[in-house]
Amino acid sequence: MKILVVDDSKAMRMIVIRNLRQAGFGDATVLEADNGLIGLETARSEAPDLILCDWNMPEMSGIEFLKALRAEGDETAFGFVTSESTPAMRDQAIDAGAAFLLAKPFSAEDFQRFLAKVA
Amino acid sequence: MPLIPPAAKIPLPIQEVLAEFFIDLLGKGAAASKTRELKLQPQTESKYVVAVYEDNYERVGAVCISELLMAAVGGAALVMAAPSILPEVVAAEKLPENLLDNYKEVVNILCSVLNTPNTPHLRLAAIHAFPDEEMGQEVWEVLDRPSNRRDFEITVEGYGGGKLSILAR
Repeated sequence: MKILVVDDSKAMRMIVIRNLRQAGFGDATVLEADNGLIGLETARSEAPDLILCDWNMPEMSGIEFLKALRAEGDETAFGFVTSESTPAMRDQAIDAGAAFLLAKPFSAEDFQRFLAKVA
Repeated sequence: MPLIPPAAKIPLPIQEVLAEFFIDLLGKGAAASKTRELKLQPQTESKYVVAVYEDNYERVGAVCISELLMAAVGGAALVMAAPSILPEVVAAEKLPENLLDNYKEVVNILCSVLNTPNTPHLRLAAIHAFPDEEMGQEVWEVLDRPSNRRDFEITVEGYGGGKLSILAR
């Protein structure tokens, strides 16, 4: 399985990847990107099975990335993992085609539960 | 032109909520207990880190003060850096840039304990490693006369800890 983790914070990418391993995805190939634009380019070239993405990022935000992906007909499973979470953001995320929006901080159990929806 | 609503009071977390926050974020044991007030004066150099949270109208809603060691612990534990670096930080009385960057992520996510469905949404607006007048009058007003404050001693398994205070407008 190939998972793309997109976050402008290297520390947060490390935490998401740590949680992926704890959730049983230790064998997955994990790719990283530090903004939505690089995330989009990586998604096009690497065809990941799952994208875990932050919301606020430079160059291209997470929601812009998701909309661009879906506009290209790419239906890759996509989940937001973000420090900022409002009901409006959740609605926007789901309307744009995300499977979930998981707010930081999250427990390993939360992470497993959300990933079970898509992987 | 839409009216700007009056600034609302921000509810502050209790120690159990803060402990759970650090446990979930850092993936290790953590505890929070009440402690004495942290008093901040201008030009205290880098012994404190001040995080400023603003609402959608760019008004300061809350401020978080962290002792230097607390910021170092948070920044190190977030990326599972070796705790052995902490005495050097304390001796130097200065937070290295990498730990400050990591701690910025900690206080960014800490905002989640300040946001409720019934109060204005806050987000991290700035982080100051050198608390001084450049933080702005509004920040100093909250520091000097908060409507509410909670002061905590935070401990992170394997790292130790320090003091952290959250002050509401």
